[in-house]
Amino acid sequence: MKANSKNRSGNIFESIRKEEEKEEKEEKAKNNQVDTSIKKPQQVNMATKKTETLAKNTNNAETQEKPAKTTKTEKFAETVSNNSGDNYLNMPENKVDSSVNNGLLYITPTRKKTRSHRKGFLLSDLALNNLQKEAAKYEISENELINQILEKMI
Amino acid sequence: MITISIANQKGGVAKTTTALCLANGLQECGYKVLVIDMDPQCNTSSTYRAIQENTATLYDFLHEDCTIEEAIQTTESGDIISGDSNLAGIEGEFAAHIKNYSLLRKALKTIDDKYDFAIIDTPPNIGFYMTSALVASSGVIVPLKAEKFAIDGLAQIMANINDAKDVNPDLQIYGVLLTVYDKRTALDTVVHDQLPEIGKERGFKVFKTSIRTCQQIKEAQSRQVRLFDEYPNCNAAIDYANLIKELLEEVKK
Repeated sequence: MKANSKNRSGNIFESIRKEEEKEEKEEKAKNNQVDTSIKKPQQVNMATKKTETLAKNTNNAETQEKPAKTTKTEKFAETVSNNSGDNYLNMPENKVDSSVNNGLLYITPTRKKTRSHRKGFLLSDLALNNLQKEAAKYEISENELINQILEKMI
Repeated sequence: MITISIANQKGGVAKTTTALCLANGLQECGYKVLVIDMDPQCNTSSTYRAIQENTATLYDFLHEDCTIEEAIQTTESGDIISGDSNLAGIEGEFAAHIKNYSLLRKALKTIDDKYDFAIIDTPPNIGFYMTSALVASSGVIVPLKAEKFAIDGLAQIMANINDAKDVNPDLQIYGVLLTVYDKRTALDTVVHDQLPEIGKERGFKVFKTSIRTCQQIKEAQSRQVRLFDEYPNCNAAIDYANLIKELLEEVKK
């Protein structure tokens, strides 16, 4: 029995260690996945180099200075400008995602919502006075008034 | 940042007092200190006059409703992550998921450069909160009162700390600290004299400093003021100052 009770606390720590190791492995696996996605810009660089080499070969100085992606966009823009009729950029299928074109990744930090039963809010004195006046006007409680306002909003 | 847990599964051995005085003393020495109140009784939080309602507390942090930085409150007594009386009934809920035990450890790493010391006050039981604290700590101070039951429980907390090294290999036992020491009492004197020997036998350090019983501690706590501010010359303040000297030497090793 003694051995069991001693092992019990040890088991918790062993489980924690295993869990941490598991998480580390998962993180590493994720990082590996990120690495493969990082290859994309490298591929872009490769494409740029290829374009540059091609540009050198053709002695085209302008193309040499610009990266491959810009060239593509410019070509697309040229096509659009040559077209005197409809504005192709405004057509939904031709809309260019500028964030992708700039090579930027926008990360929006996410935060879990605080549990509603834990968090309250404080009204300013003015808001509280108005709320109390309105509640008195309709002869209902402040909570009921808030409920009704929210229900109507939805 | 050095994270110190004040831990003993026995209640009434001056864990909270030690946490408060240690934090206060280290602040006086010019260190940046964060106090984390993991005891659902929230005595440390109330002494710091920390707010629990409509503010992020340890409860919110452990529920992953906020980050550790959002849970830090700056009070007149210093920075604290407040405990929450709601923590009392839901220890099992947290304990059900093993990953929760590492939450504090991971979060403290993110604020590692903001504080010199983090002092964790733990509850008087070996449960989720104390285990999380041990997983997150650099070292432990074990307050001990010269009572039979407290001494009996010493082996258990030591075994638990040693088990925690499985997850946290760098975890140290900074020392056992004899508290509420009254040299007029025979048992206190015996324990005071024999504790270093027992420590040598069982492989743990005992602080040379003992914290003498002191009325001013109770007064400081009831008035919610800091001991070193109000009673800097009382026995307990002198003893805690000596403890800090010892601790800093231990930490520098």
